[in-house]
Amino acid sequence: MLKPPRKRRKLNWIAIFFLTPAIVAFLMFKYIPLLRAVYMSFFDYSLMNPPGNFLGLGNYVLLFKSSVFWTAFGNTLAFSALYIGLTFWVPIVQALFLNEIHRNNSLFRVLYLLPAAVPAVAGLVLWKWIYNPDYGLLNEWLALVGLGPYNWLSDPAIAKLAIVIPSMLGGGINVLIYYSALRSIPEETVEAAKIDGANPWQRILSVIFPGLRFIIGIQFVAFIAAVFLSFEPMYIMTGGGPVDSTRVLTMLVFDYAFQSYRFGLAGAISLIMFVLIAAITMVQLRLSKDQTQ
Amino acid sequence: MKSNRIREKGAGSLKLAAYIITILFIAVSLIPMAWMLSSSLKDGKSIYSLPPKWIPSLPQAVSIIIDYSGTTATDEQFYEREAAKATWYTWKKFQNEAIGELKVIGMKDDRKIFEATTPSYLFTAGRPEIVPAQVFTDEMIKVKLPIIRAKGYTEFKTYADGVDLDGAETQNLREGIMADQNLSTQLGEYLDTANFMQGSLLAVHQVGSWAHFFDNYKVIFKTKGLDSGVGLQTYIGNSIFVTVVTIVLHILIGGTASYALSRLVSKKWGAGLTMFFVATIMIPEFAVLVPLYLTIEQMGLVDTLWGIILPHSAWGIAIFLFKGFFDQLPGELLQAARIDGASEYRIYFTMVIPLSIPIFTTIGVMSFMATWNEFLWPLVVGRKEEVWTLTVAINSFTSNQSMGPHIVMSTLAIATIPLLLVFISCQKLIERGVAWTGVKG
Repeated sequence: MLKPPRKRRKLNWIAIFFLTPAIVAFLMFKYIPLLRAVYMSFFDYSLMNPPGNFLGLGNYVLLFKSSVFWTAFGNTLAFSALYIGLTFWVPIVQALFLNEIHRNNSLFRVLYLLPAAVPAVAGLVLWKWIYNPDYGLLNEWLALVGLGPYNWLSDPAIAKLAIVIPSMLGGGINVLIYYSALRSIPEETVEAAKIDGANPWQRILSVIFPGLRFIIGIQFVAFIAAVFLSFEPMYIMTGGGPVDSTRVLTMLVFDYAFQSYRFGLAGAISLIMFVLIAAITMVQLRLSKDQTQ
Repeated sequence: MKSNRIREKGAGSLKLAAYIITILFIAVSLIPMAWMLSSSLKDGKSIYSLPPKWIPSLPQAVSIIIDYSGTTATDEQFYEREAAKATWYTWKKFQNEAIGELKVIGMKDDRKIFEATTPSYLFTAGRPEIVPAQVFTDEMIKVKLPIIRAKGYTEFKTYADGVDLDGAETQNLREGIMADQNLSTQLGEYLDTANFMQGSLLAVHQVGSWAHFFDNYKVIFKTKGLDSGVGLQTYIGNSIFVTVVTIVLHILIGGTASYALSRLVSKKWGAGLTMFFVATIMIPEFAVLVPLYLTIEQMGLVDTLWGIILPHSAWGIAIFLFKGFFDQLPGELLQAARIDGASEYRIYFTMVIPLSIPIFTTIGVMSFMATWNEFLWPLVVGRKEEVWTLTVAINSFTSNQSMGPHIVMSTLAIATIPLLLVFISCQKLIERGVAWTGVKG
């Protein structure tokens, strides 16, 4: 077919019309702010007289010398370890077993989805009430088996654990993601394992679970990024306390920016987080590439 | 057919384990929700009962009959003050009891001369204003009565010439103070010794009232911020507005841009621009939080709903998913329309959109979930109560002393309803969306 050269130009006007709003929005709300964050982090940024005094790497030096930053950094790492150890695998296990249920499967799926209807903030407020040291449900139930009482959110030794526990229930969209990945494992692979004499339990370990490797890798990156960026649980449940035991980097950004108005310092921390997350993503991508080859 | 199949070793145990584990997980994860619902129906006393109760107690409709036969005063003002005192001072004293409604009946010479009814949700709503402390004086009620009247907290009825009691009321009067009911006895003892009223107590009667079972859900709509005067209606309205406009923006901007990327520009430009959009998925919200706030401030949009909405318009995931879908549309069909002379607008709006309903609904649902749940950005931009979204309001409720946990819990339940409806009505759609995005990675 002949290409009409004149017509192409006419089409492009429509393309420009269709693309302009998106390009403007992405420049304005993503790229320019990102560049501005870098720029701001070199200044003692002042709202009255922007950009304020040039500090060079001063903000970064200040951060690396301050104990608050390292405490928050350590807490962020500790939270990551806790979340990975206690919650990341829960929806995978849930999906693996859900996959073995054939009757009423749809009902079980919607039941898994229901708790996710509680908005995150609402769920945290609810858990705060469950954790209430005097009238909470959890302490009352633990007392029945002779445990506690615990000051869940005001004891520095267990506050981190208390923040992680609600997400251990799993469920929600994540189960559906793993479940749909399981459904897409070709029937023949499972049949082949059957013929080879693998019993159902062995099949899960040797065929079905490895079939999830790809989606687990992707979910893991997203999970780590989400944990690094999690803010609401700490902000709502403990506000960073007790004795800074749950103060994470995101809370530091929020406090510096909107409590003490040190925008330069806040920008510097958020950039450090950006670089960390990008690095984790790169490593993970490299690893998953090696695995598939 | 079943008998033909050879039963595998381990199949039974696996199935059993699958059922047990799945049911256990689901049961445990539904407990917090059930606790939320149960707590949201409790009164101010049983919410703090130990051990915690799962079944909320039924609110009691209490009626009090007071006799004014000996007194000489006859003006309505006097009786309204008496009724207000009997209602508000008594209830303040017993504010945490499961009282669903309090009715005070005034009698003179065996005829009813006034009646004042207050439902519990209006008492709870008015309590911080009318009876902030236990100061029970005549002076106090003179100041507060105009407020009670203006806000319609208590419904007053006065009968200048008096009317006869109806059957139930006569019965209550004959029974006097119910001796077999704890609450009535306590109320009776209190009113007998209280010295803020002129009349003398004749009867206290109580009966369970299902009509007031859901009063906590009414209270939250009556509770207003003290400075701003806005309440839950405003917060819900804000959340709905922000969510709806955001969905429209995502669909409009994301859809048109992705269609252009997929069909209207050259391959090279398409790939480059797609990178430009999709790479922003890597930019975390926190990395741009501060400069984004400054941008919104320079646009003069701090403390406005548009300040919350506009930054949503840049959503890389939407472009990524739209583009992937449009790439799979049959090109011949669109080409045929083009040859017929249809403009690209027409093709997009009359052919592409109807063909792409699944992706539009999937992105709509994803966008709904993300925006309805959003907390950090509305918290940063919306400092004034007038522009709070529901999530920001919920967070502030937890530190509001005048709201007991039972009232907060009913707000949480209301915030859960929209997503619950979406999940139940769009389960298939969500699953298709998840499967589809999951495969794409």
